[in-house]
This record gives sequence, C-alpha cells and structure tokens, in this order.
Amino acid sequence: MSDHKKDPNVIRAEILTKKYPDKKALDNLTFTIQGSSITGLIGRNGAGKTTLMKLCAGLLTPTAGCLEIFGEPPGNNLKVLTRIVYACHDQPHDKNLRLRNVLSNYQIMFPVFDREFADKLVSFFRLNPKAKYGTLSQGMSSVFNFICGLACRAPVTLFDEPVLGMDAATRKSLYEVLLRDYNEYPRLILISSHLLTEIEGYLSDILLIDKGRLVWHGNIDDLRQSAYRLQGNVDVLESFCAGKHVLYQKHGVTDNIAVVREHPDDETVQEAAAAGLTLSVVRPEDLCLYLTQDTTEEELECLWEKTN
Amino acid sequence: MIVLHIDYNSLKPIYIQIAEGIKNDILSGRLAEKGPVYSQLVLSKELGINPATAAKGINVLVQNGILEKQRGMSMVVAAGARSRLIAAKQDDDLHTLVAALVSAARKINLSEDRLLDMVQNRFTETAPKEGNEENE
Repeated sequence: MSDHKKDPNVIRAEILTKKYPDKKALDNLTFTIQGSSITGLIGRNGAGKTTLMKLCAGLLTPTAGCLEIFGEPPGNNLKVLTRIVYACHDQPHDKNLRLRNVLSNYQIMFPVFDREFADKLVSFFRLNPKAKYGTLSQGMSSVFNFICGLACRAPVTLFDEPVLGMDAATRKSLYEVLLRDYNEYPRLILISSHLLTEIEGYLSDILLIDKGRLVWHGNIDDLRQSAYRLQGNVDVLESFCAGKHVLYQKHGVTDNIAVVREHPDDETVQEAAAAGLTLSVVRPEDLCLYLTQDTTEEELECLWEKTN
Repeated sequence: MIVLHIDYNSLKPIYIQIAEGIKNDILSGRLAEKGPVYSQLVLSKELGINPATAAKGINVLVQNGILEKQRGMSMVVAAGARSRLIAAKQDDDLHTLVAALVSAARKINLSEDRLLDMVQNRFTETAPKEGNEENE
C-alpha cells in the first residue's frame, strides 16, 4: 500500500458546528464534496459562508463535529494546508508590500504556485506589480487576491466573494480565466458569491446554506429542475397549486405568481398550459432567494406605518 | 464556429440544450457524419459552461448512438446519425402537430370520434388519385 490512502472525499463535514461567543455560525452541517468541481457556496449575509471556508482552510477550528480535507482535519496539518488556499477579496497582506513581493510570499508558502502564470495574470488584469498592496482600490484588491488564489493551483481552492467591488467587464474576464484554468487544472473550487446569475453557467454544483444550516447541496441542473414559477389568474393559480409545495406566492393587482417546489415534468407543463397559466423556469439565484427569505410582504408594508 | 446558444431562462436543462444544439448542427450538415464533433473543452470555453455540463450533453448523444467514441481518437458523429435524426425530428414534429390538434379540438369540445373522422376524411380526400395527377 502506498502511504497516501486515496480518499474520494475532498471535503467531508459531519455535524460540523462553529460557535462564536455571540452566535452559532455553523449548525450541524453535514455534506461531502468529491472529486473536482466548481461549487458555488451560496447564502445570505451571515449565513456562515466565510466561517465554513475558514474552517476548511484551517484558519478556524470547529466547536463540534468533524471536518476533513482529503481525510484529515486541516488545522495545524501542514500536509493538508499546502493543498488548500483561501482567497478572500481583501486578504490581510502587509499594506506596504509591493504586489510582486506578495506573490513571492505565496511562492514560498505553496510549492505548486505558478509564478509565471501569476505574473501574466497581473499584466492581463492591468495591475502594476510594483504597486503597494495598500494602495489598491477594492476592485483591484479583489482581482489581485483572485490571482494569488488561482495561481496556487491548490487542489482545494476557496474563493470568498472574489468579485467584490469589480466592474462588470472585469468580472466577466475573471470568470473566463477561472473556467479556462479549471479546464487545464481540474480541482475543487469553492466560490462564494451573491451574483449567482452571473456564475451559474460556470458552476457544476451548489451548496446553499442559511443561518449555519445546510439548505441544499447538489448538481445545479437538479436545482434548476426542482421548481417552477406559475403566473396567471388568481383562482386558477390557487386551484392548480392546491396540495403542492408552494415556496412563494404573490397576489398583486398586476400579477399573480406562485413558485412551486416540484419538478416541472411534461405533464405539469401541459396541465399548466391547458389551465391558461404561464409556467417558467426559476433561475437558481431566485430559487436560493425563495429558499432563504425570511422577511414578509407584511413586514415590508409595516415599515411606513406610523405607530403613535 | 459554434452557433449553439444557451438559454438560461428555458425550462430545458443546460445539458439537454447542448445535446439539441449538437443535433441541430448534425441536421444542418455543419457537423458531418464520421467527422469530429465539438469537444467538451471547446464547448466549455466557447459557451462559458462548466465542462461537466458539456460532458453530460455529449454523453446523452453517445448513449443514443448519435455520437461515438473512436478508439484513440476524439468523439465523432456516428454513421447514419443524420438520417436517424431526420426521422426522429419528423416524428417529433408530428407529435407537436397532433398535440396542437387535440388541444384545439378540446377547446371547442370536439369529440375524439369527430376528430378522428376529420383526420380520416382528410386522408381520403387527399389520397393520390389513379394516374398520379396532383390535385390542388
């Protein structure tokens, strides 16, 4: 037997819990990620995305439960840690360091860091290697940290809000670079973003968390196929939806909408058409929103009510 | 090169859209039988999709024999794929027409028997006459 036993699980979390003094950031999270993929880590602010990534990168330790990367806990484990990179949009590098020196530091930390590729990316994204890290704008800092993370070619690459502050054109270039590099060097890329619609095509999987709990994990195509939206006459809509799992509904003056958590099979599509309802796809971004929304229309209305 | 287009607002899964796009390119002759087909990487790069999604689309066509893996070579369009696709498309088109016909009949409460009568009559009316003259 060779010394490295092959574990198909790249990340395995079991009833993983992380508590901070004032809140529970992760709450009994259980999931496994196998093989290479570009997985979107989706969730609202405070859902626990950053905590999860930092736990994976060994920057935090779990309060309870188990987290393994390649079959081993990442904390204080150099063998594992050189295979994981955590890149967030504003890494706490020394503000006085020049970009090229930050890259040199990465070269020391990560044996497979591709310096030539990193230098090319710096010029591709029109950054000045002599600029000091502290002088970068939010968008430029995001770009630079993305470059550092990508060029590590780490088997587990964690991008935490990589596109924060970037303009649309830069984001587009970044996604293309990410996809092409992934095609050249398949690995596990976990990427958190609030702009799911922009990246849905690039993703193979989605890990959706809310308030520290797992809401959904699986193939993005399966997520797309797990719900549909209906529009039409309110009475027809209600009778059509009777007995179905309705995720969201809105009865307005101009429009009536219901989102049903069910696969839109051919029969359903035909029935909806026959009933005069418009059936359409729910984009993953919207579906994630419906699955994690906790404010109501009433609460929204209340904001402008005067309480004497 | 690729005229494939991904519609993220369609009910169709992305990989099915890819499979259908390749089928269309075979139907139109853009992809020749026994000739190479777009690779997973080309599809991923040009359409900006995850390579796993591209592979899934290709696999659908491998499974129903439209594409085949050649030993030592990349994926090719199977011999006879085009004529099979044409036949399947005709079937599909007829299915769509029949579905429209039936739903139109339902809307005006036309009975199944009446509709079948009409179809039969149409067949009789338009049957080729002896002598093969075409009737306008």
